[in-house]
Amino acid sequence: MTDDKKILVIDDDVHMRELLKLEFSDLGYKVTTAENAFKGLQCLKDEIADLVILDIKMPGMNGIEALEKIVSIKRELPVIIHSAYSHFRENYLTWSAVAYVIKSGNLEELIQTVNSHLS
Amino acid sequence: MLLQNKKILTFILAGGKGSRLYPLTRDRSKPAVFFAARFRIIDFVLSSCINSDLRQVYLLTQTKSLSLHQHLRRSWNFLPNDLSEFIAPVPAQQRISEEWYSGTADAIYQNLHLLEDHRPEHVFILSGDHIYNMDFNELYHQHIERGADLTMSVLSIKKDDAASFGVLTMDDELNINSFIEKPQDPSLIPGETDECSINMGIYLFKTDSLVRMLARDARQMTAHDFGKDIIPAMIGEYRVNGFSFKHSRFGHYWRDVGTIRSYYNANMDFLSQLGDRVVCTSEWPIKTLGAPSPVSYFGGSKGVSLTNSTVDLGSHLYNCRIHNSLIGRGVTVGNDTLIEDSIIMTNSSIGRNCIIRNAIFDKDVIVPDNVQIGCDPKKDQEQFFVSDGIVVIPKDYLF
Repeated sequence: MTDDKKILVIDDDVHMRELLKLEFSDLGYKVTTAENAFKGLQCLKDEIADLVILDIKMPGMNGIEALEKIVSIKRELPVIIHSAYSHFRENYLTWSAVAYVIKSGNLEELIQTVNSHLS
Repeated sequence: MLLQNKKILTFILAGGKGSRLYPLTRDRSKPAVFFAARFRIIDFVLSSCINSDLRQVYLLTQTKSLSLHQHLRRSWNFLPNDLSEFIAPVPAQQRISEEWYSGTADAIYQNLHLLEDHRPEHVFILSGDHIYNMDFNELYHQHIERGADLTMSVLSIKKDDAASFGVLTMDDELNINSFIEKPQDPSLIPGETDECSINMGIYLFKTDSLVRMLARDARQMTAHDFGKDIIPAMIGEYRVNGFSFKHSRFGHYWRDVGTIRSYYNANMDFLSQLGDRVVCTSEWPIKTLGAPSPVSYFGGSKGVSLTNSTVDLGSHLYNCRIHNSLIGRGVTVGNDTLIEDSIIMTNSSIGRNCIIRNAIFDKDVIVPDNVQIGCDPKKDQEQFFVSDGIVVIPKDYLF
C-alpha cells in the first residue's frame, strides 16, 4: 500500500517536478514538490515526508549541500539523488543518499528504487 | 618509503574535554595540557606524524580550543603550505547544522568535504589524547600488504585495566573478529590468562570504506562513535586488521592520561624513562614550543641539589633541593625550598622555605614563602584541589 506514503521532490526543473508528481501520484503516493533546496528544507520542517527525491544542480543551494542538511535534521529519512549527471556519484558528499539514479526519459529505475525504499 | 607521497590524509581528534583532568583542563582541552612540564600532550602524536612523514594533517578541535590553537600557531606552523604540506586546526564549524560534533565518527563526517577536497587513498585517524611514539610507516605497510579496509593499532594490557577501553580479539591472520567498547567482562587474548587486546584510537582506513561507513552511520540513530558504532559494524563485512603496537618500533611506551592519577604516573614514568633515553631520542625528536629562553641558572652559596629531575630553559633556582620532579620553563624556586615528586609547569614562582610534595602546579602559579603542600593530607584537602592523593594547583591560583 502506498496511500499513506509521502514523497518530497526537490528539483528546479518544472517539467520534471510535474512529471514526477503525476507519475508517483498515479502510483498512490502523496507528492509534494519544491522548486529549490531552501523551499525543500522548509517543506521538511513543516510536514512529514517518507522519502525525498533530490536533484543536484539547482540554483542557490545545490543538492549536495541540501543532502548534508537533510541528513543532519532527519537522519533516517531516505534520500534518492536524481541527477542528469553521473560524475557526482563519485563525490563523497553524495554517499549518504540511499540511491543515485541518473535522469532519463524512462522513470522505471526511479520508480523501482522508490518502491524498494517505501515498501 | 615516504608516506607523504602516498596520498594519505591525517585527522587528529583533538577536541577531548578531559573532564577527569580538571583543573588542568579548566581553561584548555586535553590535548593542550602540559606534559613533563615541557611538552603539550598533542606534541607527541604530531611529532610522530612529522617523523613518519605524514605532512597533511588536520586537527579537529571543539571545546576550549584557544590554548591549543595558540600552541599550534606558535610551535607547529612550519610546514610549507605552497608544497601542500600543513598542520591545520579545524574548529567545529557547525557547517552542516547547528550541532557540535556528537562523537568521534561525527567529527570526521562533518568534515567529509575535506576528504572530497583532497581525495586521499587512505586516511589516518589519530587520537590527540595519548602519550606515545609511533612510526606510522610500519602500520601503513601492513595495511597495504594485507589489503585492509581498516587497520587499527592494538595494545595488550592486563584484564583488570581493560574494561575502560574497546576490547577486541584477533585470529592468527590479524583479522579482528570481535570488538566491544568498554565491556563488563573483557575477552582475553587466546592462550593468555590475564591479557586483553585494546583499541589505541589509531586507525588507518581505506578512504572509500571509511566514507561508506560514515555515510551509513550518519543516517542512523547511534552515538556516531568509532569505538561504539563504526568498528563493530565493519567487522564481518570489511577486512578489519589489528596492528601489534607491542612489536612495533616504539612499542614499549604508551600511556593514557585520562585521570589526574594516570597523568601524574605517566609524567613520573616519562621521567624515569628519560634516564634510559628511550622515549626522547635524537632519531625521533619530540617537538614543542622553542621559546627563546636563556639557559637555566642554579645559584646561591649553598647550591642546588638536583636528583632524578629535569629543569627546562629560563629557570632560576637558589639554594634549594629538587628530587624526582619535572620543572618547566621560566620557573623560579627560592632559598631553602624542597620540591619532591612534583610537576611544576611553565612560569611558576615558588617562594622561600617551602615544602612541595606529590603536587602538580599548572602554569603561572605564584607561591609565597613558607607554604607547605603535600605534608598534611587534611590541610591539603581544606585548602586545595586534591585528586587521589595528588594536590593540583590550577593556573593563576591565588594563595
